[in-house]
Amino acid sequence: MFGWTGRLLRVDLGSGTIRVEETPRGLLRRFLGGRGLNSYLLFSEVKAGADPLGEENKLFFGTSPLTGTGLMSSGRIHVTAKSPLTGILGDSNAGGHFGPELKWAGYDGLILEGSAGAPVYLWVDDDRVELRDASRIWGKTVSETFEGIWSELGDPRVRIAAIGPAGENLVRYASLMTDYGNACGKTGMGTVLGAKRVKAIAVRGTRGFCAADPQGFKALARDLLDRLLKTPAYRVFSRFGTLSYLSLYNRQGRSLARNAQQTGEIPYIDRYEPSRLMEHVTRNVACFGCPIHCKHEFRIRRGPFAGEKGHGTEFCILSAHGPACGNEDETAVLKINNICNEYGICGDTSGIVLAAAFEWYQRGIVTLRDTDGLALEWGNTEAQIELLMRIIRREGFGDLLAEGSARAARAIGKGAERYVSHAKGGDVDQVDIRTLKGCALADAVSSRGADPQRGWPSAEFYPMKAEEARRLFGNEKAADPNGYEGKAALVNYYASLCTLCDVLGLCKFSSAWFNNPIGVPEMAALVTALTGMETTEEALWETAARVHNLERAYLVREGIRRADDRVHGRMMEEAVSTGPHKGARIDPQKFEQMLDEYYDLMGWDRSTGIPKRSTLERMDLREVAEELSSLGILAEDEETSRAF
Amino acid sequence: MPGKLMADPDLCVNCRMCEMVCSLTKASVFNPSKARIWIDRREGGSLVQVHHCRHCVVAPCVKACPVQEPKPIWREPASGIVRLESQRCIGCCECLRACPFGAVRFDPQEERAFKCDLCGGDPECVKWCPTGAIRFVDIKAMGTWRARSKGLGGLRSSQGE
Repeated sequence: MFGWTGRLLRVDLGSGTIRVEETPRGLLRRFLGGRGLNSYLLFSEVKAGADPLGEENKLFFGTSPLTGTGLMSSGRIHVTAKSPLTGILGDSNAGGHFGPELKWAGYDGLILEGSAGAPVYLWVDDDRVELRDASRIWGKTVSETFEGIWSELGDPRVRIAAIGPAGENLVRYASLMTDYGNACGKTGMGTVLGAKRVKAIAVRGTRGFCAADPQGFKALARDLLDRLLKTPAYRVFSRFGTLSYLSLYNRQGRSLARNAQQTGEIPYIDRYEPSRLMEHVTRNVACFGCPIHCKHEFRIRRGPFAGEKGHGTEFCILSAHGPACGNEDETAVLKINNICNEYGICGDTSGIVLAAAFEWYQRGIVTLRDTDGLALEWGNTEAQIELLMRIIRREGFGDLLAEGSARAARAIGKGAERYVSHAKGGDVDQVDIRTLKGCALADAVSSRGADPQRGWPSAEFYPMKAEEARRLFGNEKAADPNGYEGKAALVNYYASLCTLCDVLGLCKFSSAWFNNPIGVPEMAALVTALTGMETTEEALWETAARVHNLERAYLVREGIRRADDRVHGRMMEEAVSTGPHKGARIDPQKFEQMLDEYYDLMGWDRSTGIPKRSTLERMDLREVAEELSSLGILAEDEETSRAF
Repeated sequence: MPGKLMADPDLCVNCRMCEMVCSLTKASVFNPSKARIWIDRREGGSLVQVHHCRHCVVAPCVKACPVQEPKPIWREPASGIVRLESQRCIGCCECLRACPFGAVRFDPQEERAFKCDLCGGDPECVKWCPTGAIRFVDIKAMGTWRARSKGLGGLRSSQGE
């Protein structure tokens, strides 16, 4: 077999049974791998209404055909389970070296089911797989866990994915850390691992795999590498990574501060200028096979945390724990970045949760009595760090916030929900989507809740020529960030592109999503050379659509309908109050029109948002249609259609 | 003697593209354990080591090989390449033990040692390294190479490690 390994590793944590199964060829043909395969396994193996923290939930690790090939940016791992944060499809994708190692060990995927009685970690040494006692590393931070496992196994080149104390304590947005500073952050995949009492997965892979046409594949990879190195953006992005984004969005008037009360014109933006952030950076680091090397190692140069070293930091955590919390000190964000990495909590989600708490405090919705004496005044970084630690330990007010912003707001009441912007429980990131209508639609229909990585239409961020927009999206106004026209095709284009990256195992930063060389035609050529399976551009677009419909079917089986396809809170209810985009808002009626158009394009029922039977059958998802039909969900769609 | 493979760990970002292109070129597989060059970066530490053959003039691996002449491992004087012919290797691992750079590796499936042959004088790893951390340097210019390489990569080196 070429490109894939043809094997799935299934571990039943309850009984300790470990099985190697053949990866069904039909599934590989239809879903290719990674997110596609994971989502299919989630749909078919985890029943509707399953408790995300219960034994019935399963965790799927998916490698992809391109994972571990050395093609630029092919070092991804995709992790999927039912999310304890959103209660719907949860998944997260991380770089580093863990995914390739799992692939070289000979697995297209790893399935963890049931739950272990006492804490364990999984040791995958090619074909030798065992569950080992983790009592000595339970309760430890991520780096202590890594050190403990390396010394126990006697090989520091073993690649590890581990949870920290936040995952053990079932904080609903705990992350799974792969290597240092790479996180599967969103949707609480670390929490699922914590509920299963699995501290870590350690892998050593020396089996490797082959390409159908190694020389052809190498030539394609070489050409793409040369093209990437010649792009003008390469020199900048390979140095700064996403560190320059906060000031960039501020210049565009789209940055957010104080839990989205302020848009653009952050007065202390000089603190977050890339040149200043780079003063702390000691080295650039790459994920596996990546010439972009956007990651950093840093040592804090100033302030109370001077001298502390760390890994990572990028736009999401900088914006969420920085301006969103009114934090004017970039060194405090670097410190918080380290806490998130070490304790295994999503840096993005935790910052947005804290920002909401700060606003509740500002408005008197919570008081000193509720916060256990912490004065949540904007920019009080001491309180911010202390509250983050209490979330991780699930103490007092922190225990409530550990439930996530939407759940905490519901529990608090008193109008707290108004100050939380989310879609399906996924927090909206710190770029003002009221100024980017396509991004708002993308957040609303994303299958894992609001999320830029599900394919924010990047064409809205830079001026795209009208002809180009017409060619790609069939409407020359589609890329206008303030317009509502042609958005369905625009959103679907970028969502498909991002889905293909997740399915094939590519980092989105090297793809056409980022104006980089790997577009869909290139993907088709790579898959053909790698797997020997003749793959066309059209077939890949269809695969993306198949995955979207499959994930949609999963969501509707969990009860998601049209009413859930929207952004809740301030982003939908208020206009922008400051900055150059002052007055911008999302028109509710026009938003509904965009949604109608999107449903029509996807082949989903307009009134319910349920995929039509004909759509599912056209997508080669017959068994998915049967399942929805047997639960009476497709009938619901047909009845409403007749009513119209 | 055409040149030497030289690596600057300060420019290396640990992407391991060299490992992959090496394993693909030399063994037609995606498998870093078959690569003739390998990066050792203890995750979390800033120390990077690039393990590769130095093609020593008085090569300890050649000396250590117990097989009678003609040895399966030898230095080709004209090209300066230390070559290993796996078919004639007896799998004793004495060359692995002797190499001070960890550059000779062992294939557990084939049960034979293998090592870098500089791709015959035009190493692939050099062509694929995106930061210029691995170079094939003219031996006459070697004295000034390291000093010059500092200005070429555009990356900040690790400090105070």
